[in-house]
Amino acid sequence: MSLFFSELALELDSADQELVKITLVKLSRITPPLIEDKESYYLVNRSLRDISLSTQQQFIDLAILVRDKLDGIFPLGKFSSLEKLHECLEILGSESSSTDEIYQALITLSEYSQIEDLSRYKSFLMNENPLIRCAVLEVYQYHSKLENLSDIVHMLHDSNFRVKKFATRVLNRFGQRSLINCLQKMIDSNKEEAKISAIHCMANLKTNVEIVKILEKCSLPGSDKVRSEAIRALGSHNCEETIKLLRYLQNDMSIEICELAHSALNKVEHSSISGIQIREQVSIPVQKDS
Amino acid sequence: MITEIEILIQNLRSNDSEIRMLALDTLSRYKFQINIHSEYILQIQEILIGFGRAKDEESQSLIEAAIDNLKSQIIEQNSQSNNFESSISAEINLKDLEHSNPKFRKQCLVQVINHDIKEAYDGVLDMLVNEEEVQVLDLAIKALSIIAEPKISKLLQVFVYHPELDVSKSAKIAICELGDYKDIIDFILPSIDLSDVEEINNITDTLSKYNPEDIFFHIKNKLQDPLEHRRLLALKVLSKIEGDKAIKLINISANDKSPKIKSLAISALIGRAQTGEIVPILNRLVQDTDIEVSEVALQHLNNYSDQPSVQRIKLSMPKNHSSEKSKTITKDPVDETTILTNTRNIEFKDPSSVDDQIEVEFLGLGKRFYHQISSGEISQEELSTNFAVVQKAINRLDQLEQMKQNANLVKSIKNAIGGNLNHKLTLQNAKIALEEAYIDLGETGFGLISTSIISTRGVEPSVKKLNELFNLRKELSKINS
Repeated sequence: MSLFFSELALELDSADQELVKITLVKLSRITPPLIEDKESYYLVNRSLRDISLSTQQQFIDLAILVRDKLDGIFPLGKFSSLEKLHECLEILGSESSSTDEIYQALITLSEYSQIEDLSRYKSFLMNENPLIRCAVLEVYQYHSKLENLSDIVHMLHDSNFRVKKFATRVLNRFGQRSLINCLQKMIDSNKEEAKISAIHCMANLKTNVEIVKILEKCSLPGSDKVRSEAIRALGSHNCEETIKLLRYLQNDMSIEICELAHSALNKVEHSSISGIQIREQVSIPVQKDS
Repeated sequence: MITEIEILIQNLRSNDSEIRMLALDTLSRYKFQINIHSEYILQIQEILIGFGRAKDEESQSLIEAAIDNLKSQIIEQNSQSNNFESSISAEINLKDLEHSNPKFRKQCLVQVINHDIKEAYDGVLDMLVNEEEVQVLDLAIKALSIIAEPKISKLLQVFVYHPELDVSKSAKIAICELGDYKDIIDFILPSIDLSDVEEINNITDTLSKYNPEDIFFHIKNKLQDPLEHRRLLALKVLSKIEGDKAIKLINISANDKSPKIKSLAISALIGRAQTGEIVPILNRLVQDTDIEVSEVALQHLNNYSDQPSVQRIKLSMPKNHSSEKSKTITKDPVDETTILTNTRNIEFKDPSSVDDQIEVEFLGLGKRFYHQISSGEISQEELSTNFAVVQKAINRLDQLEQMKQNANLVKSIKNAIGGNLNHKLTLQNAKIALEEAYIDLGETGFGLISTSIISTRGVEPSVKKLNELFNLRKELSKINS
């Protein structure tokens, strides 16, 4: 076969927008037997990442989709050195580092072969700059484990669409089953903050009975804040169970809940099916030392 | 009950070409009923699109007549009544390209093709991301070949490798129609199957429209590209092209700094007849500093005479090429006009290519004489010296083969340090010496037959063949002078 990632990466970096689009579509049809230089995947991965984070609005979705697909079937292949790792960690630890420096450091770290402890990166998930949030999600994409899932579930509720897409990509690594199990665990915990994070995530997921049932449980008398968020989240899930539940909640003892249920019912009747679908089956790509 | 139009559709789909031709003929004159269901029209349109461009003129004119008849009747009936459904006439909903039902996507694509709807470009491109239905994919590629710019060939390249033959074929046709020789060379040639004669002939036909000098110039440029993958791709292309010029360019790759390219250059030489050009390249690569390259070269050098010949694409002058450049090239001895064919259908371009074949025949004749003398069938004083030389060469080779067997025990160790090369070279030289001794024996014997000193008994076909070759050589010498 005679397709080369090295050539495809050059085409992705082209100033010709038409060629970039054509190459993205071409990449969406790539399978391992077609590629002669699999070890050069990192070049395409970087170009796709750059497009995903660029201002080329029309290509972002496609670039993320293609990268998501190819990441599952090609090894990253090239990793940052240990020396680079220390340099980057220094930048992250320094208070005088600029946004650009932090961004670059996070991107470089995402390409390091193995990062065991993600605790030092968690705070960047809350950074006010969406590019930094995306960059740290890159680290999570290649290094997070199941126990790190709860750090990022709330990011499906992020105000920035690009961050949402990057978060979805990380969640896709684990698959729907793992995500729902994680959300259930967060709801069952005693921490209100964790419960609300999980509810925010569920508000953005594609409707399914299991999610509606968890939200139903949250809408029952308990913490007012949790109940309110659960009812708002139900407004995004148009199904018979939701409508029945919201109608019932319209007669709640609390006026605030009644009003919330009423407005959620209005919303649900006009909502379309647009929630994020997390992949059912996953094969988590494993980083290997070069 | 099966209707008349259903029978016609069935016949258009027939595997029997005669039935298909008859159905096309009927379709070119068919009068459609006013209330015909749009589904039938779409099916016919899809079949006609599937026929593509026919090779023979008769089929092509029948297809065109059938399309014309269909078009004119659709226009006529649309103007007369509203019975024809909207999907047949002007209104096309491009949103149908995203329809969950493949039938709708197919119908929409048929309309895009029929009406050359350029606005559908983005939609068709987007559907290629996830489309899995083979027929839809095939139509989408055909649609792109009509509504898109030549640049789309870069995308179609990926479909050349599609496991479904129809899709792959459509992609190749689209690249040939939309692109130029560079696209054909870069996107189709590297993947072409050398065992598929039909495919080789198709590409040869397509490339015959272009000047071979331009083609070689394009490949040569790529061979010198600073990016290794481009040099590699150019070499892959060369491995599919026959002729001396291709060998000269492969020689550039044989000098590449990348051992991977050098090794592939060796493979690209395999199965070619030009021993005179190839053996020196292999001999040089045997001395390469990279142990793997030299091993591969040596292995192929050893097996060279046993390699089966491989059919490759033969670039010839374009039939209607009229530029100044081509006028000068027609004097080139490689041109079609000076190619002569002998009784075994081997094509010779110049006297030196005949010489190669004469050498092969002398080799065979020499072997035959050797066996005849060994078995006592003939005894000839004039051949005794050559016979002794052959015997000596055989003995030497036997000795070396024996040494090689004894050395097998330590071969792996020697391999590791590259120390077995000298032995292999010696063995190779002994094989060449034996071949040369056979050739000399054959040549001397042929001289004796020509002067009627010995009879042709047992070697008649070889002698006849050699006489033909010498005559051919004479003719070529006249043409070239």
